[in-house]
Amino acid sequence: MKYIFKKYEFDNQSQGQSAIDALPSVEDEDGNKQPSHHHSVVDLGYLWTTEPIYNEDGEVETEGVKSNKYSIDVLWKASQITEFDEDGNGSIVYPDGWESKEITVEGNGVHTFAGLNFNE
Amino acid sequence: MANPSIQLGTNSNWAVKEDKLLAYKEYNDYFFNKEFDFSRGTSATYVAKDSLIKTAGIQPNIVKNGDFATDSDWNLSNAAIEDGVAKIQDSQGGFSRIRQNTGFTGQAKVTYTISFNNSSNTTIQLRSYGGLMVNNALPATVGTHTVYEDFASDAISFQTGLAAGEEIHLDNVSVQEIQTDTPRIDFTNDTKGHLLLEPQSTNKVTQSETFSTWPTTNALKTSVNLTAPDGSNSVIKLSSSTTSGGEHKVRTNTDTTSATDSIFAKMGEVRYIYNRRSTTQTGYKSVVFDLQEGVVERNNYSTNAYPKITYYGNGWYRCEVYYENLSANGTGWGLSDGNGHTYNAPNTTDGLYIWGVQQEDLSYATSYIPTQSSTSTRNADVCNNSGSAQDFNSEEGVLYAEIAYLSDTGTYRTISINDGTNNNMVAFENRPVSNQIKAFINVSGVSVMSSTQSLTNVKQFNKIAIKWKQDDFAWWVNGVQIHEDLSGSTFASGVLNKLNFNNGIENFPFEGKVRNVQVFTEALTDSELQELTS
Repeated sequence: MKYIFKKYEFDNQSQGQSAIDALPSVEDEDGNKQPSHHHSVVDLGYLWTTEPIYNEDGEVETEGVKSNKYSIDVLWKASQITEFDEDGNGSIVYPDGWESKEITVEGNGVHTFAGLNFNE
Repeated sequence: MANPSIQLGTNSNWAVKEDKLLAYKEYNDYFFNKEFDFSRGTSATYVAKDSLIKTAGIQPNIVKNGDFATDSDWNLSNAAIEDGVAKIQDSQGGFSRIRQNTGFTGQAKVTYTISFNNSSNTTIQLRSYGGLMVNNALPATVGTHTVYEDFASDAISFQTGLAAGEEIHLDNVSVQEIQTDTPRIDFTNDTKGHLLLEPQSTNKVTQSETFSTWPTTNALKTSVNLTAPDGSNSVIKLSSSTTSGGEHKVRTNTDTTSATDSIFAKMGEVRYIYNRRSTTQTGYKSVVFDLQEGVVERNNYSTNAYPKITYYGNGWYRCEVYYENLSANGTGWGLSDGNGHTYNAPNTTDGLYIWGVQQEDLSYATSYIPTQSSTSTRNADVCNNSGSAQDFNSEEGVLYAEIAYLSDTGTYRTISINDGTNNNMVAFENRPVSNQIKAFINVSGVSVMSSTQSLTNVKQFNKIAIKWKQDDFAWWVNGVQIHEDLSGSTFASGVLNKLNFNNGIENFPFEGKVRNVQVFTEALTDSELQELTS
C-alpha cells in the first residue's frame, strides 16, 4: 500500500489548519512556509448540509446550511508516515492530531482523489 | 561537444514506466539507464502523440470476450449473448447480470457501449465479485461510456432489474488497470513531446462530461455520438430550449475563490461559446470564444478575467478563463452571438458541443481531471534522484535544460544538481516574480554565483545552461550569456550526486514542461554553450 486515503472532520478551521501546519515544511527566502512532504492535503472547508438554492445568475435565493465541522481529505504517502521497530517491522503512524478526527462516509462523499475510491 | 553523462528527452527519446522516468547516458550507441524516481499517487491525463487525451499508466485490457463475439467467458443470469452483444433481459422478479472473473483488484478505466436500451433505466450497477458494489449508477444511455473505478475484488459484473419485454444491450467492455505513479509525456501543441510536471489541483465541478447535475437556462443538453477529445464517442450538444433571445447555458455553483474555468468545445451550427462569472469589480460580464477561428472573440471584463484558447485537434478547443476576485458562486457556459452572453435562437436544434468542464483554484488550466459525482484531485508529480556521484564531475560541468514554466507566480520552482541538501547545489529556479529566473551555485553553503534575470516569457520554452568550474561560473539563455563570475571555489570531488526536479531537500518542486535535460562532466566553452542554448 503506497498511498492511504483518509477523510477528517475538525472542530473548526483553526484546528484543521493547525494540523496541516504541523506537517513537515520549510520556509522559503521570503519567509513563507512551503510543504516538504508528499502527502496530498485537500482543504474542503465547512461542507453544505443543506445546499443553498441559487437563481439563474448564481445568486442565492434561499440560504443553505453548512456543517459546523471543518473537512479535510488527505492522501497519505505511506513511506513518509511509516515507522520501523528494531526488528525492521514497519507500521503506519499518523502525525499528531489527525487520527482522532478521522471519519468514514458512504461512497466518496463530496471529494475523491483521481482514479481512487474511498473505503477501498 | 562532450557527450552528456545524463540526458532526458534528447531527440524526443522518451520512456516511462510505473515509478520511473527513464533518463540515460548514450555511449558508443549503447544506452545506460539513469532513471528518475517518480510518484504521484493519483491518475492523471495527458495529450498523446495522436492528439487524444489519455490517462497515464493505462495497461492492456484484461476482459476476455468483451466484444461478445462468442457465447463464452461470462457468467449470465437472466441475460444472453447473442448477435455480438450481451442482452440483459427480464429479471424475473430478481436481478439480471453478466459477470466475469478478471483476477484484478485496484484502480481501472472501464469502457463499455450500450447499443440498445428500451427500459426506463438510465443507469446500471457495476459490481465486483460477491456482489460488492463498485458504482451503483453507471450511465446506461445508448452510447460509449468511460468511467474510472476501484475494484475491491476480482470480478466485473453489470447488474440491473428489468421488466418483461425490456432489454439493455451491452458491448465492447474493457477494463484497464491504471498505474498511478506513471510519468506523463505530453504532446499538447508540441510534436517533440515534453515531460509534464504539474502541481496538485482539484476539479471543483462534478459530472465533467455528462453535465447531468448542471441546471440549464433556456438550454437543452443532448448526449450525441461524436468523437470526444479523449476518443470516446459521447459528448453533450448544447442547444436552445426556446426560440428566443437571452441566455442559453448550462450552469453550476462552487465558491468565490479565484479560479480558472475551462471547457472543451467544438463548433456545431453555433460558432461562439461564452463563459460568465461575477467579479467584485465588474459584476457579471462574459468572455466569448470563437470556435471557428480559435480565438478569444471578446473579453467583456475590464479587469480580473484572463482568457485563453488552445486547439486540441479534430475541431476541439479548450476555452479557459482565469478569474480574480469573484463575487458570486455561479459559473455558466452558453451559446453566444459573438458579442456577449446572449443568443437569438432560430430553433431548438442548432448548438455546439461541450465536454470536459473543469474549475480549479489556480491561475491557469492544468491537465484535464475527469469527475463524476464527486470533485476530484490530481496530486502533484514528484520526479527526482537521477544519477549517482559517478555521473557528475563536481569540479566542473554544465547543467542544461529546455523548459517552460506553467506559472510565474506563487512560489519557487527549481531544477538542481545537488548532494541531497541545498548546501551544495547547481540550480536554476523560477521565482514568484513575473518571468524571472535565478541561476545560482552554492558550495558548502556559500553562494559562489547568484544571478537573476527577467526573460521574455518563462511560460514558453527557453534553453538554459549553467556552467561551473574553479574561477569560472556562468549561465546562458537562448544563445546569450546572462552572467559570469570569474572567481570562486568549485565543489570538492565527488560531492554532487543527483539530478532533481526540486531544490535537493524535497522542496520547491519544478512545475512545468521539460523538453530536454543534459548534464555534462566538463565546462563547455562559450561557443559550445552558445550552440547548446540556441
